[in-house]
Amino acid sequence: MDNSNNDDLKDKIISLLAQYPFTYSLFQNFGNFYFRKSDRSFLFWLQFFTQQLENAYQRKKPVVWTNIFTPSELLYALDVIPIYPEMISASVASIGLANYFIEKAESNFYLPDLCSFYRVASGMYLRNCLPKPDLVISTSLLCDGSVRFFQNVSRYYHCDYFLIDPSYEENEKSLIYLTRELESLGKWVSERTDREFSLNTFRNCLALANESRLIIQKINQLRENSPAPLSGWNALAYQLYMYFSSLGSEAGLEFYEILSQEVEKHVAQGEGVINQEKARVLWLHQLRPYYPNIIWQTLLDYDTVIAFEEISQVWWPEYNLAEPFLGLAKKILTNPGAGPINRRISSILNLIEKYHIDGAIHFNQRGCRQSCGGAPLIKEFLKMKKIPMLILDGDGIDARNYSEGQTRTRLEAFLEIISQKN
Amino acid sequence: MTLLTLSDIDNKIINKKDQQPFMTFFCSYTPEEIIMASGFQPKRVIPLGSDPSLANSFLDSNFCPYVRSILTWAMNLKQDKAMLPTVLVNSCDGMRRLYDVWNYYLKNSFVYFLDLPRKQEPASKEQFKLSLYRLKESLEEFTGKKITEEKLDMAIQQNNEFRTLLEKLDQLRQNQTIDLSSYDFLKLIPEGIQSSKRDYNHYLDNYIVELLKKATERDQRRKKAKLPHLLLTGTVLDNLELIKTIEEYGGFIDIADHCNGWRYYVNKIDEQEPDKMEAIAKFYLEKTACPRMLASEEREERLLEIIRARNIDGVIFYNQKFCDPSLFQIPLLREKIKLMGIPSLFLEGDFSLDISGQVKTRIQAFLEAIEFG
Repeated sequence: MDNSNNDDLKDKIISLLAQYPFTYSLFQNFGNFYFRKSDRSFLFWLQFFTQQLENAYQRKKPVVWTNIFTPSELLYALDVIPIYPEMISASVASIGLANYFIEKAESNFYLPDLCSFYRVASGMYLRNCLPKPDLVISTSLLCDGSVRFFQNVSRYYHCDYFLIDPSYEENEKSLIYLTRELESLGKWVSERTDREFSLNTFRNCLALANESRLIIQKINQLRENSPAPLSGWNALAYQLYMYFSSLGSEAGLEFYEILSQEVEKHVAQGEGVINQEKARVLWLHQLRPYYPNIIWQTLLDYDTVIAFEEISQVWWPEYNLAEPFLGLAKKILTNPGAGPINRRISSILNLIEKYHIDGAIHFNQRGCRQSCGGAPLIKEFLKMKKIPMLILDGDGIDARNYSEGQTRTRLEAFLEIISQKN
Repeated sequence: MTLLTLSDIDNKIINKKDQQPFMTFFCSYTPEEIIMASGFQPKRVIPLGSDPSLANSFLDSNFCPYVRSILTWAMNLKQDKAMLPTVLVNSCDGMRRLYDVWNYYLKNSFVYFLDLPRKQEPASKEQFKLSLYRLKESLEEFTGKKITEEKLDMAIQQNNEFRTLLEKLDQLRQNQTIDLSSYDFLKLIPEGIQSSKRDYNHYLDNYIVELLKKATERDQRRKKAKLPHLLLTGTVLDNLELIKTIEEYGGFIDIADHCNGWRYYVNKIDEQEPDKMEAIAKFYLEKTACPRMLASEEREERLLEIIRARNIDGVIFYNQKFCDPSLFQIPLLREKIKLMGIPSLFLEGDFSLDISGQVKTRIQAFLEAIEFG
């Protein structure tokens, strides 16, 4: 029987639902009820996320698609609504819809060797399930795929694209180059949105980001405690969304105040993710699988906790409000994942010491060349420090690349080793 | 002047006596002119048959086979204590990670990592120029010799002449004025890069004369059967046997849009520019872009023009596996080609020595579909 008519109807319904702003209010209300026993920080994220999409569909302000390493501080200063396709892909995977979009992307020649985050995002725009961008702004941090994905988006929607392209080297000249590039971005957006770029607004956003930064630092300090007061599994999900998308906004500051209270409470009461920790793990790479999998449960079974994630560190200095663009340029240029691998290795070694780490897990996202390509060298350095490291092959979004048996075998073997260390 | 024969060329008789020491490189964005001016002979390494899987434990198995093959090749050289000075370019994630591993495991007498912006704007060009100056200074320090404007000028002229001769030869080939296969033509590029340009340009000049002489001698009225005209596009062509296979099955390759194909010779450096470093920076940033660069979009538009102008019958996307920039160019370009009613075929390279039976069958089927389409 030919099901193509049914499929067309299903596609139309999904696309219409995705484009209907009220869908997101409904989703939020449903979420508030369904997750009523969850942490306040999670519910806050849910509201932030759904509101962002609803506002974008209502075209309340210009919509800008962007990537996770474009500083959100600048986007809030530009008074636009940022949309993060990479992180939306993760959310889509967590509700089991990734394959629906992957199929569409692959049928349009977004081939399986490409990063699944971009395949889902491509499938989403091809199925008309994301708010149309007015502009596209991204950085070339940290990967080649990101640049080409966002360029394709701008071509698909016939809108302009600004690439922030930092140099490989970190020196005075490259800092000046990047600062000027960011300055020109302000003008570029103004010209295309008929909105005045206000330096005062920018400074206010940076001041908010500085406040959030201090709270994140406090949370990170509290995370040095054993038992670990915050779940690394959550830190790699909704908290990561806020980390990349909310700095520079009032909502961002409010979120971190809530999160900080939750962590403080756990520390004060001596509560942890696991009260009798046998081992503490550092999670390497900025993502984890977002579909149902056995990793977290297996860690818990072995009384092992993700004490910290390399992505959660605050690597950038406080912004000097007198030189706002310079501050952002520094943030981009000093990203531990940029430049030579030594930079990433040094930051990992610091985190290992700081968080009393027994072992590290590098999640090898299939299709992520920049991170996976550096994993064996990181392992070599960790070996010298006698820190076991597991390179765990997998996929954050495409469950077809996930093998439960293989993941379990490798993870259990690793956990046996690190739990014997203590 | 003694005219060299075709067999001389075929036997690769290259004057070795003033051969400079080699400096290896892997990316077409490496400024060969600066290397030449420093007294080295640039040599682009495309290590076919150097098992990429041997590098898996140093990088990742889902990683560009070119990069992995380079690493395997370099590790063998290291073992044989035969490492050569090298320039790497920050041209993609693969090369970035290769440099990390190289720096740690393979430290040789000279290894330089050159940064490369993705944009063509004046500020990016200035930034690239600074990087080129740093490379120049490093080479001067390494050799103890100054890279003068005269030496740069000479290198620019020689490389421009080389590229011009290649372009001329390819145009004669495309128009079927001379009898030269794409396979034989593409072989000349790596051969010329690693040869003394002065000598090789001389050979190429003679080669063209010889080929034209042969062409006039043969029956000009004999018309060739109409062959399916093809355009190939991608990053690096690893195995020229693929080209041979396509030609053996009756395809005629008009353009091989690869960094060691058409893109290598289609642009020239501005010889009138008094500031030679400026001219070099401008050339590399503005040349027909590889899929990693932001201007790749313009190249794609140019390819569409070529498809129209040359009545191309089919397009073959030939990419190295796991190359994200080139994989991302396929969906939109393929869609535009499809709208023009041109069929396309997608093939992936993996730096293996053989062209698999499956690939041969797909090429054959594609060419048949074009003929009967």
